[in-house]
Amino acid sequence: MKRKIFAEKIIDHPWWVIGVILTLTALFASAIPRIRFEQDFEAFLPHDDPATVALRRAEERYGDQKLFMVALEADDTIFKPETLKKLKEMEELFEQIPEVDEVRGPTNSQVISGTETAITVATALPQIPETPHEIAAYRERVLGDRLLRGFVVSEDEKAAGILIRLQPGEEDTVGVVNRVLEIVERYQGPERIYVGGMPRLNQFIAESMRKDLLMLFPVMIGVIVLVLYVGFSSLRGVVLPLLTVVLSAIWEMGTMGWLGAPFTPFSFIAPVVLMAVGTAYGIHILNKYYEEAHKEGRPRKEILVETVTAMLSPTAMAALTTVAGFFALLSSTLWPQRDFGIYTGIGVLYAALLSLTLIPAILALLPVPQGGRRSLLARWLQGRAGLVGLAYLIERTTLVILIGAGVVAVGWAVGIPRLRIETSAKEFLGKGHPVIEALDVLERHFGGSLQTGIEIDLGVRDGLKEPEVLKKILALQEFLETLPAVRRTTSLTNLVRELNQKFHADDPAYYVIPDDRKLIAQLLLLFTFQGGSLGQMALTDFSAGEVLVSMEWVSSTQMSKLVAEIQRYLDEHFGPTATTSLASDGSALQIKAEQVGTVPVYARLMEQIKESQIWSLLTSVSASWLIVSLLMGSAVAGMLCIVPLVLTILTEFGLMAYLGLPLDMSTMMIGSIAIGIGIDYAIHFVERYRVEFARDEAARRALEHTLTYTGAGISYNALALTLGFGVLWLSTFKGLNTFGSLVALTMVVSALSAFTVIPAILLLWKPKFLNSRKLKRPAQEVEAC
Amino acid sequence: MRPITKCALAVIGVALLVGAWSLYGQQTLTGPQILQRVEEKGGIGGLEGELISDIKFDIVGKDKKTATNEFRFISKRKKGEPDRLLVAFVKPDDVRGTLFLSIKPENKDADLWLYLPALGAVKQLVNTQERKGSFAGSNLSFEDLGSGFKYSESYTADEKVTEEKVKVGDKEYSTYVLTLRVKKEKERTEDYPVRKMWVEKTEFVVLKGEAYNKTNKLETVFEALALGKFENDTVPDRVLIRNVLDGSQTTISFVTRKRPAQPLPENLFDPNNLKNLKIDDLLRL
Repeated sequence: MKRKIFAEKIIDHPWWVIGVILTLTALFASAIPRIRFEQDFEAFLPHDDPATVALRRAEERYGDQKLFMVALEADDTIFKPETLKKLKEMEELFEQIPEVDEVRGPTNSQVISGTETAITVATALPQIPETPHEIAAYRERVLGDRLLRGFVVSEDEKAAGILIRLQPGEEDTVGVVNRVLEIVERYQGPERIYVGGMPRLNQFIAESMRKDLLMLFPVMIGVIVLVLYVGFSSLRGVVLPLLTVVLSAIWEMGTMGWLGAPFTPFSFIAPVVLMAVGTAYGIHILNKYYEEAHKEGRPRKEILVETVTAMLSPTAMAALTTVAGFFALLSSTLWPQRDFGIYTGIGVLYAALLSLTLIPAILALLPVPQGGRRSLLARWLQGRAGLVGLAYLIERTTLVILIGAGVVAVGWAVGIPRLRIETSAKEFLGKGHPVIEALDVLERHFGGSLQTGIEIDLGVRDGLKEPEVLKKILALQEFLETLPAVRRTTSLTNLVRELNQKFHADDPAYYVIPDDRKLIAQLLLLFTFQGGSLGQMALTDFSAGEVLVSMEWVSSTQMSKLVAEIQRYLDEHFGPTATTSLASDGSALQIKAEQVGTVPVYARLMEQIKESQIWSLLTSVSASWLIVSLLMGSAVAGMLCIVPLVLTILTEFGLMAYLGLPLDMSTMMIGSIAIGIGIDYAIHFVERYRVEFARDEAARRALEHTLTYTGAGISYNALALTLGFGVLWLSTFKGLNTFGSLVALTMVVSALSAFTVIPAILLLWKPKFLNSRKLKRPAQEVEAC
Repeated sequence: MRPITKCALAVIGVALLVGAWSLYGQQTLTGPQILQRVEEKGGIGGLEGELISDIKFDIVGKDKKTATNEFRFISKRKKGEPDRLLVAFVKPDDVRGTLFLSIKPENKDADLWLYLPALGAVKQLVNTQERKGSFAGSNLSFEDLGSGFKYSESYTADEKVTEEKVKVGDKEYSTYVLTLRVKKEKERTEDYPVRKMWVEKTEFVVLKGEAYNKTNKLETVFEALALGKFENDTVPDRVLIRNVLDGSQTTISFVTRKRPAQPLPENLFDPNNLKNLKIDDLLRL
């Protein structure tokens, strides 16, 4: 009765409904520009995670921890006046960017040189050399300096690098990178100039997200138009569901804007996912509308009241189970995933609400359609070659289906332990991008495109000046340089050894840590006296400093192994059980060493993904089982509906494992999406079968009717979702390409499982709930499914 | 009119005239003239003649860590001769006895030497391009120290000056506000194209300064925190130099200032003699 009143209110006041929806749409649309883009992967961990806390503290103490480098690559040598002029001008222009803290390149770096009587710390290239003699002298100066060779000029002289450090806590890194790119663009050719490092990667991801959104929306609309046209072959059949999902996407983004949620590389596809998912509600309502309209001689109002009354509960229930699947992502420890779950879930509710209000309101203003033409797809699906034929096949091959499904499931499950987890932004992006090319250039010429750090903290003033402490740090560096991904390390030990050698008339025998603390202190004083900057090597009071590690951008599995290996060494040599170092005055010094860079953050992200994946799947499956059990009044029915989901998840992860596709922050959402959407198929199928079976307990007829009517609806829906998610193939991100393909596959597998495995179980087992009289929904509603 | 009234009026009249004259005199001072008076007065360690000062630097780095250094500054400034400055490091202990010598002929870069006692060797600091490095990790460059803040070599003061009140401690002072612009030939080597100075009007003491970097952002601020007297002249006793961009700062305290009892020996400023100087002897001067 209440459903009828609801339907009549909408149909009697269509203009009011349209007016209110348009007003709300305007309100939501006004908040969309507020949405910001968050692309820093390290920001995805919880604020109080130890790895992010350490990174933040290191940034506060030592400045920005990310490598950001402009690399110039020449065919022959960079030691040419015109190339050096370019480098010098670029360095000066980068220095003028207000958000830049420090610029260090081949012309403005400090070079330390020593003779018997003098020591010089001078700018490497104060003026552009013009004569071959001047160029040769400069070349010798730079390549002869261990602190510059391989850092700002490559060993083979073919490349030069300008290191840019941003102001600590700088938020507009995208803006800064854009300005750097503008400057670089002016100096391109004949040398190739690349901009690489984490800030550039983040800027590229942010730009790509914007471009992807602008491109994916129209393509998604095209796909939906196609599916709707194939399904309905009518203008209103295309326009109304499309309008509903477009508006629900606007509402969803508006909600994000009002609540201050950012777009991340994982959540920015939420509106696109919503458009794919939300179309189903409009499809079902229009399906029912046409069914009612084709019954002769009925007035418009009666058709619409019948449609809305019948569809209210199924739509609401289908939406609720889908929302439960998305909301299960709330159990994730990574907030971008939680955001994706929340906002897609809210969007699904909007889509269901708009389908139940806007579509009937508009239909109330349109004439009743004439004729009963079914689409070509509907005719094929409901024919003997389609789903009717399938029913016949299932009845004869029940055992084969079940054994086959079991074998396939075990096969996939065996492969799952091989599944690798990947959190690297480089992997997410995929190959072939200019930004990845830049990272390769950095690795080829400058010993790495990724930087991480280890903080050595003595907690006492001047602790870093102790010879024993420096020797211990040097031993750590020597260990680090034996690790496969690590190319080089830098710390105060490099500077002290260099100064010691230079102060001893450049005698290489003195490239050692002096045994005299006072000498170390005085050498460092000399360095700072000459304008030398200690940068990240030491704090002002020399109580702590960083060991900087340059490394290749390896996969996050390798990063995780590296972090673990380093941690083992630190625990053994610097942990509380390690021997204390002796200070020069005989007192004991406890050295604390902690990994503080971006690499530990990636490793933590990997752990979190593993944890989140298990939790979100468990939560999704449990929530789905609970909802279905409540809706059907049977825990066994709930279990039955879960079977195709489990098969789908095993297929998805097994396939990923065999194909070597990584589980990353986007693909890990597939499980919840599969459950959220796939459960609908199972519910629709089991519910309709139960109604059909309850009529005469003829299993064959029940199966044929279920497949013919409900199966057709599921097929449209699966087609829409498969094509809809397939749109993500066009995304710039490799991670999202994989995500799109896997969700599309998921839709096919869950629909097939619902069509084959569920009927096979039902035919073989005939569970008690099929005979239960406690039908939660009247047959009329179920038929609407 | 009673004589007393006449007398009072005469005194007031004279006072007004003197005031007006002094006002006129002050108004006629141009920026370059004020800068010249400032430099004649001398800056930190820059007073004319022979001077011994004990100075403490309290440094707060941009990492908020603190460090303290104590020095003995021994200077000799005489017209027509190079400015000479010997800085002896007193604290911390690990650099005690380190000596820094600067000899700066007029309108030329200073020659700098450093004696490291741990090595027992004197090295000339050859850095002919830029001398803007931080002095002992402070916000002060050793070029500033060596030159005694003689900005006129690198900057030109705007003719026009404005006036402002500046508070130091509880007291408010009237100041000229000078704008200094870097000379064309020094553009490459100077970090700050524009500086501003607040100069106390009667004794030409710099009470405040601001330095703007190449992106026209205020980077360094100089503030006199306390003023004192030395030989009837007002001099800063405590100054703060702050980098407003990174938050680092140095407070410089003049613990003592004195003229030497005996004329300073010439070999005190001889680079070849640095290794023979003992910190305890220098502290006894």
